[in-house]
Amino acid sequence: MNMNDYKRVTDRLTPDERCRKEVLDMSKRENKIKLNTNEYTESVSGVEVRSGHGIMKYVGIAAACAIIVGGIGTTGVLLHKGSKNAQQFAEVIEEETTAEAVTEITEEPTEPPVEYDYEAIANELTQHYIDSLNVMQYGDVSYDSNESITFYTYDSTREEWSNNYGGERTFYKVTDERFKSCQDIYEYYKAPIASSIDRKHYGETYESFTMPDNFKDAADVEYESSLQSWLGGDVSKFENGSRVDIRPNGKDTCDDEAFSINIGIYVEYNGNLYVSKRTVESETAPYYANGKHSFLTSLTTEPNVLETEDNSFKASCFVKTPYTGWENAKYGDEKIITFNLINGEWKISSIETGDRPEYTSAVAIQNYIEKRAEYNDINIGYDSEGKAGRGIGHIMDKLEVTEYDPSIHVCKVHAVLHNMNGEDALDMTAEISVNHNGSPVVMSADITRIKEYDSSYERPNAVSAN
Amino acid sequence: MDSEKMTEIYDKYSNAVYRMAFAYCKNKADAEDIMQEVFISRFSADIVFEDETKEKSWLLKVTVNKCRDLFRSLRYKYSLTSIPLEEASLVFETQEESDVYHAVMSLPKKYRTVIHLFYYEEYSIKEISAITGDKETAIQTQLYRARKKLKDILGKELRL
Repeated sequence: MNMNDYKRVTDRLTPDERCRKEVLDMSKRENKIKLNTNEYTESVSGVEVRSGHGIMKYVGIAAACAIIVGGIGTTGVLLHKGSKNAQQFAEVIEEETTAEAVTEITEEPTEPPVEYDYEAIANELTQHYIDSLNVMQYGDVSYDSNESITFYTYDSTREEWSNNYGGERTFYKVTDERFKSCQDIYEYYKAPIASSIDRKHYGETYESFTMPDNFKDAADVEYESSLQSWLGGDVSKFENGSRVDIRPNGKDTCDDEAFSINIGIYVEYNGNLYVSKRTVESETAPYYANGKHSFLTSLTTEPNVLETEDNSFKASCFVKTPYTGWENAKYGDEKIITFNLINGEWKISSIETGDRPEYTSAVAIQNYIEKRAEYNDINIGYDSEGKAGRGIGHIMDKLEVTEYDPSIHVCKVHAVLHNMNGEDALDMTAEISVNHNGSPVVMSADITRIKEYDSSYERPNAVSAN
Repeated sequence: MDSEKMTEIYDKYSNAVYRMAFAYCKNKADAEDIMQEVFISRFSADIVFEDETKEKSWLLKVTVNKCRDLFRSLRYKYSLTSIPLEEASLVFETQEESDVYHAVMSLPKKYRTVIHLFYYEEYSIKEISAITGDKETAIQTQLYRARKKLKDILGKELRL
């Protein structure tokens, strides 16, 4: 059994000879009409000859074809065997000719109920949404690093800010044909989203809002942050290569465009769209290392349809977002997405975060270890120098979800935890409740010491083992 | 374009266009309608291609676009009931042929498309990306998922 089986069956598929005749005859007729039309227009003098819209020309030719076809009594294109148009046409004629003979009034035919492929809808819209996040938040577009603009941001009212948060900001010209402006990226982002969005918590709507027309007024659908964190807008008022003061009018007001240069992923400059070098060339950028995509949001499971109603359904999928500890995540975060049929089009009307198997397990383990003095040497969120480090990422890095049952929201996990000296110290398998509607709880745990307890490696502020 | 040239183009590419359209639409009537539209577009377009390869990929690109347009129409959009595989024009000589073909045809449209272009037309990921307009990474993902689904359906890895 192999792909040659598919090839062999496909090789036997050939269009009817009738199609060949129809296509070629029709094209030849069109050619003749075109030639005749040209001859006619050439022979008329003193009249302005207007060339209409391309499509209208085509429609005109098609109409002419239809008249000729009808006039000479050729059934040709419209009535070809198997054509849907032809079938419809034929059915109408048949109904008309038999109508008089039928005395009994039959019930009007009813349209069969439409059965939607919810999985396909969820797949298409969710994938679009994820792609748009990657474009907007991680600069996942093509660009030309040879065409750049550079500014130097500072705060004239606070030197400390200038030293810590300002500095060189370089942007590369976006060459992605889909996007010519920040508004284009916003349009792409909101394409799968309903004009009215519900924000939900534990399945209950706590806020509804309308997607604004302009990106400057818009907020992130899930987290309510302004899109201007990413889409900076037009900064043409600043000269390329200049220093840009984010507070030119004193400490109480911030210049929006200047601030956009400082934090934005995209800015517009003299009619072109630019993407931030810091975003696309950092170690975590989508295009670092010779175009290798490495730092993007992605689906780890395809959408699973949960419940359906008239003109509405819910689906759940898991999304791996590039936050701390995400590299090893098998699942990531669950997104519970509601889809509504609005004016004949399916749209996303809410996105709520559900279970987070890895993250919640790490939190549960952190709580569990923290409360047991015999594990005071285990790193649950501090780096080796005893300072706050990667936080929960210390546990997530070493954690693997081996089983996850979404119906009861329970995970089985395995983790090898480090002591504060960075050595493998604890081998832990646990069953954990990760229900997003409840508290993270280690339900049972099997822990083996790999490295003996060493009080010299105790966590800062840890409750003493003794 | 003169009649001889039209005939030559039709005879050279009609099978490829029809087979692509059938892989997408899963029925003869739609595939034939699409094919007619594609060739009318080709004969109306005043394009000179560098070589046959480019002309064929242009035709397949138009085919995929027209298939998508058709399935975006009210008649087909998200409708499950209206797109069963039409068996009338299919010939299976072995059970394996039937199993594999039905497995491929049971995949979602976008997976069928990449499977057809990759395995039947033997296009590269990059070439498929140019035809479908999807990113190369998306094509790779679709191929991976399509193979995985085929394995799930057939119960074993499909030899390539």
